[in-house]
Amino acid sequence: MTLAEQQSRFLQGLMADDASLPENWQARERAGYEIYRNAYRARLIDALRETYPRTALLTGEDAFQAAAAHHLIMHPPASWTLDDAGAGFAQTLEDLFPHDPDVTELAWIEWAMQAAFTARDTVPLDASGLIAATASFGDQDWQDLRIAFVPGLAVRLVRHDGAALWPLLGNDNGIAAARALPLMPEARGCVVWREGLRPTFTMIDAAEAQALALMESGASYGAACELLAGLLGDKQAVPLAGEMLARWLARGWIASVTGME
Amino acid sequence: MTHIEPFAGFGPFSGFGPFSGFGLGLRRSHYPDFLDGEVDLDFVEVISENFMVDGGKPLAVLDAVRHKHEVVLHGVSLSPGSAHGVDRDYLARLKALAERIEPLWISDHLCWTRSSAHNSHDLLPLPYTAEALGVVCENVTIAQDVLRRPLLLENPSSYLSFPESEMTEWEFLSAVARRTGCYLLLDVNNIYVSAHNHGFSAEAYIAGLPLERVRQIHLAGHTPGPIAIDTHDRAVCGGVWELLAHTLACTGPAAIMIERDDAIPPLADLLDELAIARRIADHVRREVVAA
Repeated sequence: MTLAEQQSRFLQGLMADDASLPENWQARERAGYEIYRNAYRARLIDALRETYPRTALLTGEDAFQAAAAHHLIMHPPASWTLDDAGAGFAQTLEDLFPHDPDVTELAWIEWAMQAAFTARDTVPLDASGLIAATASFGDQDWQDLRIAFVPGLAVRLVRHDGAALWPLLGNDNGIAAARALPLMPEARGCVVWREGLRPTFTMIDAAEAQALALMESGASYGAACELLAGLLGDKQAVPLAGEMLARWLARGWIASVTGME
Repeated sequence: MTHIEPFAGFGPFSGFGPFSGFGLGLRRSHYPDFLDGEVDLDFVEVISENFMVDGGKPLAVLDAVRHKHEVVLHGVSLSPGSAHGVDRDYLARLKALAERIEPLWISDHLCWTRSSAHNSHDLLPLPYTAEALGVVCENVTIAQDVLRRPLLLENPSSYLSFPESEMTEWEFLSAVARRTGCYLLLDVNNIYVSAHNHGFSAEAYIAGLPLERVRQIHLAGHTPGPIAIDTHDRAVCGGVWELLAHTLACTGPAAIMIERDDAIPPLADLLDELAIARRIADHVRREVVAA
């Protein structure tokens, strides 16, 4: 057996209880191997718990451990960094807890905040920077305006109020209240980004969140305005389009803008 | 007769001399101590992977600490024993971090962590065979070429040994150092733990190494038992302190530090523990001079 084959077999055995061990291993080798097998699982479940501490409180420890173990079987870590072990865990939770969108949404927030924590540093555009960048803009430039958002910014629609859920899970006392938190009457947007060195998030209206998601994917300001008009009608959309741009700027979400190419 | 190969050279980049001093691993709970005050250490060691990120607080903290202290980068994911080769993306990120921080040196472990598809995130043991030796030497050489500096390779703790091994761990490590020109990070606790687990003599292990290649020494606590486990969650035990004294009587100057990764006490407690290492080193030096 080559070293490559031996290592593949060793690693498969760490991931599966029923994997066969080498026939020439005696009790001492088998006992030693169990230490590696237990450490593999414990380390990775600990890593997920560190990334998703509030999600773990919301689900309860037993359910969290079972979900984490399931995730690691379905998605064994491939990256050199342990931070990536939790990638896709929100999707795993959505599959495991299809009737508990709060679990999935909270996990999404925690994952996005971890990503924002180590995102590339940048200086957000301020009002004077926007004025300078758009000084020569004509109408068509504004239609074609595209925004590069600060690294780490993420947005999605949610059915639970993350701003209410988050503080309840800051300690053990709020767990029952967190689990009883009702759905919001309508979906809203949740935006995660980094303020200085600190990841944070806020809740915004659904229409603004959809416009933000559209522009974050590379669409123009004109396309975002059309989206708003379709959702809200021109009367509401026109002032909102201007307000939201000012709000994104004030919150430090915009890294740079470009007009017509 | 054993053929002794000369130590490999480094072409366009050269090795480095000994650095004598005392340090600790930089851990998150101690960040305020390092950022807000003055900590009496000659160097700090950081886990490379924790800082191989795009930006944010980890790099801001490391930059600030670097202004006050010498830093060594200690990795856990190089995987020099991987039969599938080294990860070039990993090496590129490690190189970028090294260029930013200008560490005294970069170290990792004599182990493997991943196959072609998956990563265990554990320091897994190698069979000490000629094939594994070739793999480790090739991977270390590639890493040193990319990083443009010699590495320090650390002896691991291990919980199983392979029936197919053809040489001892110290013979294997010595051969890697000879062929690649790498230096050694001698973890005294790991020698103690593995000697217990595999029934070899810790003193024979140390005597079998090219001690002039040792640049750094690790100390740590472990969990005793039929199979001792390298947990880094408690104080250094008496047996490891005794082995440190024995080691220092054999090696030249080195950077000595304590690793603590779990149940991390206040920094003052670790500095007190490090003072024991200072006293042992002073005592050994006086005895060597007297002799």
